[in-house]
Amino acid sequence: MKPLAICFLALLPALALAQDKPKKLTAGAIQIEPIEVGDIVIPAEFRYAIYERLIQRVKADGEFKQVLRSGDRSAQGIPDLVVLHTKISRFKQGSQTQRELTTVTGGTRVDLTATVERKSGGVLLNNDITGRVRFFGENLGVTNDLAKRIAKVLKENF
Amino acid sequence: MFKSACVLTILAMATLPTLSAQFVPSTAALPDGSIPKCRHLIGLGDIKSQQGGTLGVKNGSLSFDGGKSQQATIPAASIDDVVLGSEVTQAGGKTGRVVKTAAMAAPFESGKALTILLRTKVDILTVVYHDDNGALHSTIFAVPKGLAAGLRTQLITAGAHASPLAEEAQK
Repeated sequence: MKPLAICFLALLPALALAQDKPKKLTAGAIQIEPIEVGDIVIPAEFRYAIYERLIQRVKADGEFKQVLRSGDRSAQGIPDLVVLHTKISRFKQGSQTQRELTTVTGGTRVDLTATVERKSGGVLLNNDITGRVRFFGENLGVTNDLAKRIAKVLKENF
Repeated sequence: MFKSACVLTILAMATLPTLSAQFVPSTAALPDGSIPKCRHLIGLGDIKSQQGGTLGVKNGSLSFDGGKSQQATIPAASIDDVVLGSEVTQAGGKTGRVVKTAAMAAPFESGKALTILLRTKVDILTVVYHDDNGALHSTIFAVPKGLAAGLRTQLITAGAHASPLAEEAQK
């Protein structure tokens, strides 16, 4: 009887954690829209590199059966489709040379809000995400970091 | 340790002229208007990121030739926008990166001098297009400085759409 009680007590934290774990969302397909910039000045190559890298990452993760691009006509016939919108709230372009010379300055940073909506309407997710290049690599490397973080959020929630 | 670091630095410095000559892009386009020593950054289907190759406009399409199984074309009629940008980046490709990493061992952070010596300015060419299904695609290339504008003009002549450049819009 005593060992049984000890086992039960030992399992309690695990049970509590399992109950706290949020329920995952479900969707068979995701459509990724291009980055919205609003009033923020950001070079076109950053905008489109984020879009392309995001598609690559989400496809590679395999969370969704279908990953569709913006404007894809085949999205019309998919009932459980969600749409990913991203809007930039801040952009700071650094310098690769400055980063490599000083180590602490010259970083590139992009802040954005990622929103996942059902096709029929209704927001499922809304997260603020920041991408950075701090030490080595080209400024465009920030797009890779950002796509990685957005894909991680999708993976955690779907 | 100090001695080996010094040797490394000297070796790295000695390779610099070769590296510069080999990797800093020349500013001449080929007679047919295509541009060698371009670098594909992202967006062209199965073509690897950082793949080098020749970019040109042939038979009404933008073509990228990066050697065996690394070729792609985009019909000019499907291009919605061609945007120019610029970026200061590291010259020397993978070799440059290896030399720079090796030079980190140099004493008194003297290896950082390589960062200044091994830098180059490139044009960034962003091509936005749609496929037969209406899906939005984009592809980005690093092009030797001063040559992307000519390629943009060739694409517009071939039938690509392009929003006016900032300086054109100001006129």
